[in-house]
Amino acid sequence: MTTPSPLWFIDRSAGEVTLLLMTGAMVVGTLRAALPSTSPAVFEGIHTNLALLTVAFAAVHIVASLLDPYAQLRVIDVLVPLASAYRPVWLGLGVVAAYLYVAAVATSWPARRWRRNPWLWLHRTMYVAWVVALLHSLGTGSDARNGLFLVLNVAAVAGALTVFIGIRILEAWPTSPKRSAVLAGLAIAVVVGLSLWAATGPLQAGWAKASGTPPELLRSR
Amino acid sequence: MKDRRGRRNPLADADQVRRATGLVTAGAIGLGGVLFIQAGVSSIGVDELDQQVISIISALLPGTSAPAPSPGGTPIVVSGGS
Repeated sequence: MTTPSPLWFIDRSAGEVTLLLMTGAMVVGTLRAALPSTSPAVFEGIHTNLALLTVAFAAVHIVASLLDPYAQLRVIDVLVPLASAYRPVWLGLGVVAAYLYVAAVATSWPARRWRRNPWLWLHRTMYVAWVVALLHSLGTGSDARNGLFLVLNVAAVAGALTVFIGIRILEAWPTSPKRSAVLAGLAIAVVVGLSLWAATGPLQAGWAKASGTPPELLRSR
Repeated sequence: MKDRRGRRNPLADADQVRRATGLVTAGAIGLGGVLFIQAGVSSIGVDELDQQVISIISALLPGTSAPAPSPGGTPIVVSGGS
């Protein structure tokens, strides 16, 4: 019978830390863009280092998931969305978030490689990558109902929403109020939708089966 | 007299970035450790997690093993009441 190993717990804890670091990099990056004259080198440096630290923890998360014998993931499972037998949709979202993240980092570090406009739009897909990573965390994670993990996820959502609306939206409001209102409404709708989905899905008993955990792993619990 | 407000020292900035990065890295590793224990204990319990971690350390570092009573030593048994 298969039982979870320490590698499985390293995988889960590194995944949560990755999401929090990603949130931190996003928050500092937003502050950097909104306050261009306030310590630009400091904001820029911390933003870059947080982004690279996120990559390091994501690497630990992925390698531990591959080495761990519990979920029996293959290399193709962490490269191709939906290829996995273990919670395919939710694990696949993690793969998509990783690709978006790597694209943003690779086009920005060590120096910006694209012209400003395409780079900016690619960089802004980080907001989408963050939402996708959060869905992956709640959908694939075995710890959605664990108190500490839940508190950290709620803090990450609250921080991201506050910064997005408090800085991005308010900054753009005087020049384009309609667009800003739509974006603010969209951000709030995403958070409300996520909360409703989490309350009726990952936070309910039976999510392991509903999310696509292979039957042999369900029996071993 | 020149106004020095707004001027930044690149070395001081780099030092500030280094310190913030070190702090966040230490925090992230520490939080990772706490979450590891939390996930492990809630899934398999303290004793099982303890045994598994010891077996991994033993596999990685041959020659190490869990603490055991010294040979010939008398185990101390604590019992409650008579």
